[in-house]
Amino acid sequence: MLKDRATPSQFFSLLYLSVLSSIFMYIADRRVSVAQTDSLLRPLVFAVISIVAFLPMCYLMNKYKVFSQEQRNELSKSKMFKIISVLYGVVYFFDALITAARFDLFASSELFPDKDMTFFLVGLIIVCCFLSHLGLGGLSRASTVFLMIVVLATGFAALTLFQEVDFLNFTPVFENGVTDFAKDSLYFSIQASEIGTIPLVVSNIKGNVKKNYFLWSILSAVSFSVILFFVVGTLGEFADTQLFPTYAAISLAEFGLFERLDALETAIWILCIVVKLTFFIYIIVRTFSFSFKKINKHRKLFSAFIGVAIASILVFVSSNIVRFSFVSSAAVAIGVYVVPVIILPAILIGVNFIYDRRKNYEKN
Amino acid sequence: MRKIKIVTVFLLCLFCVTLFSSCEKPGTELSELMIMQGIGIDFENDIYTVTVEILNNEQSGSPGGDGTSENKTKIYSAKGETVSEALRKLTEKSGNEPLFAHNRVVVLGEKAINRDLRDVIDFFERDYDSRVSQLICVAKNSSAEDLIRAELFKDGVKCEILENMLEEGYNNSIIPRVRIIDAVNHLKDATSGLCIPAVSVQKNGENENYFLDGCGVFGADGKFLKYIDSATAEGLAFLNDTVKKGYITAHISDKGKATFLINKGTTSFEIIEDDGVLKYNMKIKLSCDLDEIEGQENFKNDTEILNALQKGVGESICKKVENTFVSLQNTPSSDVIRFGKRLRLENLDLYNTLADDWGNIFPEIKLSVTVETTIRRIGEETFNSQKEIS
Repeated sequence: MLKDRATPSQFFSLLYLSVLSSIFMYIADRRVSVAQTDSLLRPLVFAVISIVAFLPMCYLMNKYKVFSQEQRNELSKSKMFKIISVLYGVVYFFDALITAARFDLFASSELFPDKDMTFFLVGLIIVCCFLSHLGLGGLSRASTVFLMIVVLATGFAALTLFQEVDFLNFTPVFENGVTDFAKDSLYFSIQASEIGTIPLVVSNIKGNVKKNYFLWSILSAVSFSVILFFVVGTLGEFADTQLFPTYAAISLAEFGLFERLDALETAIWILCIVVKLTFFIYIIVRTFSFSFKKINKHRKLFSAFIGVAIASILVFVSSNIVRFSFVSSAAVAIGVYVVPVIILPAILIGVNFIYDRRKNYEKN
Repeated sequence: MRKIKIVTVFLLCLFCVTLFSSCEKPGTELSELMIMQGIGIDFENDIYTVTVEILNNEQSGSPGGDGTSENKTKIYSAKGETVSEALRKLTEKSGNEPLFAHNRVVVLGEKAINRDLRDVIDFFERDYDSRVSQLICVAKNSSAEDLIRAELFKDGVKCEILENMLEEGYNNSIIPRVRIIDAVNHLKDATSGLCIPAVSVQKNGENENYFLDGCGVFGADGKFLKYIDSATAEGLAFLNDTVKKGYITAHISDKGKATFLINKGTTSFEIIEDDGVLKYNMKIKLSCDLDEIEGQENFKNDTEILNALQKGVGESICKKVENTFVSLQNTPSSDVIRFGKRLRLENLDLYNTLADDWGNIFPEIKLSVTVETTIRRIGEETFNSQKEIS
């Protein structure tokens, strides 16, 4: 059991690295401009939305002890419960695919543009599949170690970038109106779909999840704002011309003899990607095992299957930028956030409510 | 604990693979690379000519190229319909793969600057290998090829000298620093023009020298407008608030001259609209050290010298800044100092009403300059005015 247990701080370290990878690999697109001072304020909306979105999940966890061992035993024969579990798995499969595709684009655009990255990516997915067997405990504990490395390296890069910040690179706040700001902020906020996993793993976290979640939201928002401050301050409108603005900003960082800090940062970002992908594969296997007992017995085989599926689709998507555009489209991104964070918890509340009423009725 | 170790080992292996796998070109030997030091771009008859200076690796044995095996660098030229095509054609001449990541400077030839600058630099923005921090300069009164092929001396990297000149010029507040990223930022802004340092080749006996020769001024549409000379370009650092170090020579009350080393300089602006005319109140705060003084015996005491010195520095800077500003306002004018962007940040509503007509508004802007000088040190020597006082 120790294998699958984590403290809240360990788990939220994992979640922090996971969302941090989203901002590192943030892709500039025409829908939302990065090169605006408004970008620095969007994370505040992200924090508010994350906290509000957590409320139904809190209710689920407190009132119904959702996805706890007892509930899983109790509802093991309910078809609805099985469908919901599978839906969670499917959504996070897409999320893993988007993450891997984004990293593929990053690797093939910035790291080794003239090399075929297929083997590297397949290797990365194999590593993630293997690491997912170590369970939530192992991954969360490792995340606390990585967190220190990531924060130190990112902080160091930020310090070296400070001299490159130019006041004229900023733009007036709410230049395009508050409505646009609200829309852009909403789009920005859907980066953190991982918060939907909390009800799925809460039974394995021992401690005060709510307090740590609140802290995580605030710290993530502050970190995003700081990173975006450097992106906007150093790049200005140039940020909107770059596929990966955060990487473009980091590539300006240098310290004395060290002129290529982007290489160091890239290695750090790969750590974050590995943590995120591993976590998603773990969640996919876990949710499917809730519904299918056979999967529970052959977790390793199933995670290998998931790895093969992700790698196969990735190879298909990778060779064509149009397919990639579909995978990274706003509709898919919104779906991947809304389904596990809003829709499925709402359905679960309804299902549990009906189940409770039925149970009470039978008792009476 | 064992699990943490396993996870850590796996991830650190991945970390090492990424960090220690050489730079940009895995699987390519160093001798098989054309390590770019400088790229010159010329344009004539709808064809680009690129001239590159590359490191001459003794082991490479690349055929062709001008230069003996003793030279540190080799120079190649190639033609193409686009910059990218011309650069890729270099491979046909050298047989090696180009590596742009170490390129120091991009030189734009006299004829290339007559094209839309945005088209010329697009390759450097888009290419995977190219760094956005490489410097840009203009070859004044010559082609980029002539500049890169200049006979400076037998052994040395010419583009390294060029890069150092541009960097030092910026550090001494003589010229602006223009990297690819700066050029893009200026040209994306609807009202901002761009000032790119110009470099000329000067004959010096048998050899030739590079020298900084003012700046090339571009309009907001990316089109070349005119040159400004070195003396005029010196006020740009104050107008752009990019004063770092440098020196300034001031005449002190017609009684003598003094040269100061600048420690720190900041510029702030206040924008006022008065009867439809924009007025920019510019306040420069300067901290500097006295480095040399002539005619100190003409002053009665230390206080008088210091006051005269402060006044002299202020007047000298005001003159310099006003001269630069008037020159930029003169037809063809260009807002290379981003006054439009400053207005956008300070008064968005007013900016929105004026932005479309900024080309006509910029020449009408009134500038008022005040300088607050602090003399931080007077060097290792005291003022020798004591005997005069007694």
